[in-house]
Amino acid sequence: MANLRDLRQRITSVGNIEKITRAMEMVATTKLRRFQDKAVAAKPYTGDIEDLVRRLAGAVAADPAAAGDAAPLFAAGAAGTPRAILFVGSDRGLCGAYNSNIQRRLEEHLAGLEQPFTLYVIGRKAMEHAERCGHPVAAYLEDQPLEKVSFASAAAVSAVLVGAFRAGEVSAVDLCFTRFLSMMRYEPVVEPFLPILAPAAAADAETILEPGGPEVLGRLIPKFLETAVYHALLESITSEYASRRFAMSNATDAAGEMKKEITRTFNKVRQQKITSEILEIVSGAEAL
Amino acid sequence: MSRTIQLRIVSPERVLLEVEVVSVRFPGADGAFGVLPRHAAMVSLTEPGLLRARTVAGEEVEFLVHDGFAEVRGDRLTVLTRSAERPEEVDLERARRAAERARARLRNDRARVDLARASAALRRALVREKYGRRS
Repeated sequence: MANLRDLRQRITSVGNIEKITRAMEMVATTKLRRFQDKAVAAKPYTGDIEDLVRRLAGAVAADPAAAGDAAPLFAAGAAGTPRAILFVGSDRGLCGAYNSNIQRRLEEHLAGLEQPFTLYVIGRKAMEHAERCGHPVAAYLEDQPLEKVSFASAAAVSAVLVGAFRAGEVSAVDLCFTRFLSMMRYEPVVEPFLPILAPAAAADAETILEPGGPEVLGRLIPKFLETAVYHALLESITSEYASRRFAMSNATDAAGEMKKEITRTFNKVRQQKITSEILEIVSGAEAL
Repeated sequence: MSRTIQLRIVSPERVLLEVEVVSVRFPGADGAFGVLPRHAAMVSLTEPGLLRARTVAGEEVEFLVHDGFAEVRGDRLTVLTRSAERPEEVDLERARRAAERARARLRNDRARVDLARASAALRRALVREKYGRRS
């Protein structure tokens, strides 16, 4: 039977942990709301850009030159060059299964690949995983912390990926990130990013393009890619906080439960101690 | 089709303006571009500059837009731009510094800088200076 002092100490320490996890839960809840608002505010722009691309990019299927500067982004890269994957994890731990889920998804994807690959990594935990597994890493984009994700930082990430693709260093790019479905559901996914798959629908010939198709698409396509990256990053960080909130709320509950349990043991031990002391006194008195 | 245009200005971070107007002028790729109701479907590039619109109530709305796209479809005109602001919101001091920085970059190490980016930054800053002052 544990002694009273040890038990009292454990009650205090579990209580402290409970306080910390409760505070972390509250922080995660606020941050989650902030990133969610951001994601909602970004929807109209993304929707409109995607709409535009869908309607205009049909022309590219028939004639790649119609895309102007962006034309190379529709063509698959040279065989033999590695396939790039943007791997998005979190910077900090204590967010439940978030990181192990995305890591598992990445490994699944890598196992299915026949060609060599290389990673572009965001997030410290993701980088640690890549190092542990010995995966080739083309770049660790640590100057774009997810915590401060903005359209500008997403554009910078997109520029790195598009640059590597244009330079012929990689033959294709996938995004491996966590899609945010709801407060309780987030799903690790791998989505193709480059080359862009031109929609089969014919271009809307009625639309006037100023100054011309190639110029418009040449500028539209990079923007389209930037929004895709922005969304991937935003959804990842939102999922991270949803996951962290959930994990911390569970931890708080578990700590409360444990505290109750230990308190019960504590009382039992105390009770027993008193009983045995009384017994000793009584039997001592009887012996007289 | 109606005799008004639903004007929307949208940036990646949020919807900046949503208003019903009777006419719009925006800085297109080949100079200022006017749009009246019942305009044909069109997609145009926009350059940094001042967008002006007249609302149904007869008020003038002014907005500084930066590079992006303007799309006319039906009775809707959507301007997608990386950023936009009202002339009175412009931070003149910041614009001036940005212009200086861009100029310095263009002047000094021409070989190393990304020319397109630096000149785009300079143009944005100049537009901010020009139209921000007027309010």
